[in-house]
Amino acid sequence: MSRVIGIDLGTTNSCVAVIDGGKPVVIPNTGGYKTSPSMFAIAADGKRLVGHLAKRQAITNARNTVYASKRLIGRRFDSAEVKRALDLFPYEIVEGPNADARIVIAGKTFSCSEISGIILREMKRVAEEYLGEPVSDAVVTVPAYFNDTQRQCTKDAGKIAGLEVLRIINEPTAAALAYGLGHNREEKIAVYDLGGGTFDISILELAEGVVEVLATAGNTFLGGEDFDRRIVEHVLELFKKSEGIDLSDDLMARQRLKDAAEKAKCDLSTLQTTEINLPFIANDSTGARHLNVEITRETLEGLVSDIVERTMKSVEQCVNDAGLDPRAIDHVVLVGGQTRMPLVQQLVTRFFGKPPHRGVNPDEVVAVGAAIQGRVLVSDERDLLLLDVTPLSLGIATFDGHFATLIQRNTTVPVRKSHVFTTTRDNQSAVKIRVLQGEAERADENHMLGEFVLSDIPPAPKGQPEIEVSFDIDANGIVNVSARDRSTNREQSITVRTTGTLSEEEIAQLVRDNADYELPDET
Amino acid sequence: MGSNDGGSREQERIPRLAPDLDPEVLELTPVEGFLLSRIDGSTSWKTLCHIGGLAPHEVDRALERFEAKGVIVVERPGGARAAAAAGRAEPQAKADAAKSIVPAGSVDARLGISLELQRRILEFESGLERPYHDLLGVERNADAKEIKRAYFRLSREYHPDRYFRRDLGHFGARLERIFRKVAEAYELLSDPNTRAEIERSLASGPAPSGGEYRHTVPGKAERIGPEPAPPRGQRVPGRMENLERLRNRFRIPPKLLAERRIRARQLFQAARVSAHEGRYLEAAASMRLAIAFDPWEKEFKSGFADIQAQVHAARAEELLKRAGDAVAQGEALHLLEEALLYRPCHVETLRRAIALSIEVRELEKAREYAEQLVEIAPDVAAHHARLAGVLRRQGKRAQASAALENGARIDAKDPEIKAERLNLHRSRARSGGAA
Repeated sequence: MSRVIGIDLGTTNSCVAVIDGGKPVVIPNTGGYKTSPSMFAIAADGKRLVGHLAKRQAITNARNTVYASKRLIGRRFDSAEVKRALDLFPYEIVEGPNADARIVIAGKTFSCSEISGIILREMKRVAEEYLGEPVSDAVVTVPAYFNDTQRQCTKDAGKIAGLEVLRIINEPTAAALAYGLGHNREEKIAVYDLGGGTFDISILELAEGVVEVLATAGNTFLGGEDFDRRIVEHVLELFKKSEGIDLSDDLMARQRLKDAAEKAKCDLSTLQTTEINLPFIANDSTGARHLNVEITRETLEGLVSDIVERTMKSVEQCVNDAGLDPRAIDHVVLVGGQTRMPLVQQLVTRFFGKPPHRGVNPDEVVAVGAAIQGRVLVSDERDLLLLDVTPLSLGIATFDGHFATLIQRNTTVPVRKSHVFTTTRDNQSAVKIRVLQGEAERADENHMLGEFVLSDIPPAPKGQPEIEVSFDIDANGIVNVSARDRSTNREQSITVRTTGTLSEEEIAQLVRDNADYELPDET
Repeated sequence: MGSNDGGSREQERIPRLAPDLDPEVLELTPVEGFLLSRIDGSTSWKTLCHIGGLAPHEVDRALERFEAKGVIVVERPGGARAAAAAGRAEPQAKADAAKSIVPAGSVDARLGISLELQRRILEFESGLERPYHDLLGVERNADAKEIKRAYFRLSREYHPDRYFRRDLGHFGARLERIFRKVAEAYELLSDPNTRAEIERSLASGPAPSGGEYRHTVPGKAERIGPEPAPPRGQRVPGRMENLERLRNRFRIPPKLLAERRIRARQLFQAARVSAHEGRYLEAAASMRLAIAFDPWEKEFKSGFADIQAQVHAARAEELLKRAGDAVAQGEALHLLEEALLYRPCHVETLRRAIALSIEVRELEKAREYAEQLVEIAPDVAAHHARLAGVLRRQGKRAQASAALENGARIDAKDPEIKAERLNLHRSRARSGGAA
């Protein structure tokens, strides 16, 4: 039996782990790093670069280097998130054929699933190199708030990478699994995940090997990169004051500064003071200028304290949503490199009244959890069971344009729920059932998964026919909706296979294309 | 209590309805009526006692009477009858049938899960309609923690993920069904409001005088009230509906419930008589009442649908007659159209509607009806001929001859096909001559 790998497909970095000899192993890539930047680039010579190779040339090739594409996956081009990305990202984003956001680099258009697929393929390659055997199955993690479309796009990405994605699991859940918590007694766990680009907080309950998500909250546009940006702005300001030169429009200088800022930030997690030293950052009539700035931990904390405070607001909200007191939380787990910052650890400790767990590296904890879940699914040692929940509410549109929820978010799957609806006109012979997903009260503000018509309802005064609509979600998250006229027992149903933003044919084509790309690399 | 209280073998007896059974020959007492409605060929004596909340001797008495009247046959597990009835049974399964109430033939050694687990699944599934507390195996006064622990324990046993990628056969669907129900029990018992509702219902539905309907299972929590279990395969109701059902289930004392069932049965009979005598509205009213008295009886609902169909047919017939009497063709066509609303698939009505539409030169309408006619009975050559006739009148000769060919393929000698072929030929010749 081939082994299942666990992949943390992150906004900024990705990580792969596997259970080897009963122990989780985080697999280092060719360069020896245990995480790889979630970056993809096409170099001037047309060569495709992934991970560290892509990052290394990002400064000089900013327009043809894709990063943070996870922010765009499964989103509509006209959504607020994509609009925001249009301002922030140096690469070109265009509208795809399915109103999705696509990325253009080096004159070639890529869907977001394809970019994620390229990164997943790289993680697969890293794992295969380490294990010395082919790998075909994976468990991939996504943020808890990802909707069905985003999850499906991630699955498609796996397909493009030549992987069967056995399960998509939530990142915080994976983190809890990695700590092996809750095997014996009942425990409540808070997972504080401050990654490169996103912040998530989740409250889980584990008991006797079963994991349940109680509540989740977060902010999709808040992460370690915001910390870097604050440092960059701060240094640019200082440089302008001291040298009279504004570097903010110098793309190359900004990229160099961004890298240096990230490094300084990491240093300040252990040191009290560090330096940003960038020689030859600018030129003017007087000759070359060098940038040399000293930053203290105190300065950094002053620059970013409001960001950390904002995360704590979400934490408070999430704990309230779970109906708990912060003291009732048994364990606090930190995820994401940014949680190494002492300020973050202090505030988290103060809020929960206990220090966070240590032991598993916060960059690797999610991938380890994914590998554990993969192992649990296929092996015979089943001492753990993950109770999956629906991330968003499911329901149908009512005639007055409202959204009638049938399955609340966070409901454990598999599940079946039904509700009786009726007609609104005399002798109405058919009703249209529109299946929606989301939390908005108005139907059209939610995401439509599909629709179908129940016809041949016998003529009757309005309000008399009884139409029973049932939602059925199986363990794989496939939604089946059926409507039955109780008087005639006539039934209509659809299986709502949530689609990503790519069609089946497109995926098949991409699978072939990307298989081709592997060959030149090896020769 | 009788001799049947002892051996588990006796407890596992499975009563089965005799073929060609006519329950109307019996004058049922409420208890008997309830019992009879629960005999489905897979429910054992033990389960019948459980779900009915009846004393064993009552069950015995009723079953003996049924057996004497030839209404049921009783199977002893492992006995000759069981073996004969379960012809498909696997050998292993047969050997084990004696200690299990599971219908033989369901377990399969070729599947990827143990026979023991398969049996456990079947057994648990057969008790899925028990009160929620019993389903989770917790006491009535269990606290939230105990309920959660029970839910987790059952999840670990029955969640489909436990058996990921194993060949589960039909057990896959069973596991999903079980898990859904367990999750439902957990959800309803974890919410203080719904739990209070459930417990109030449990408390307020005790047996009336003399403990006649009370039955205590040794070592287990007391079960009160019959369990109008929906037939297997029926969907699990949503939360609100569930509450409604719970209210119904537990607020009505068992005796009253049984009486209601009898009353419902009588109403159902009355409805049949009314329908037979052509008093359809009266029949529909009786049927509605019957459903109100016993909403769990599937037969009533399908009976209601039948009667509604008859009501519509009668209305259509009346309209048809009026259409025949109508002097003005327009009015007649209007009446036919209304008749079609009630009976959209009635061939004769459609034929008349086509003829009439042609007469009043409503050719588009005529074509619609002709197409419907062909759709309803595409194997009748004459229907194709009708469609061809309409198309010819619309001047669509190519389509007309295509329709005619379709008909001719079914029966080239059909007189209507022949006649239409001639008509089409003539029309072609005429227009050819004109051009």
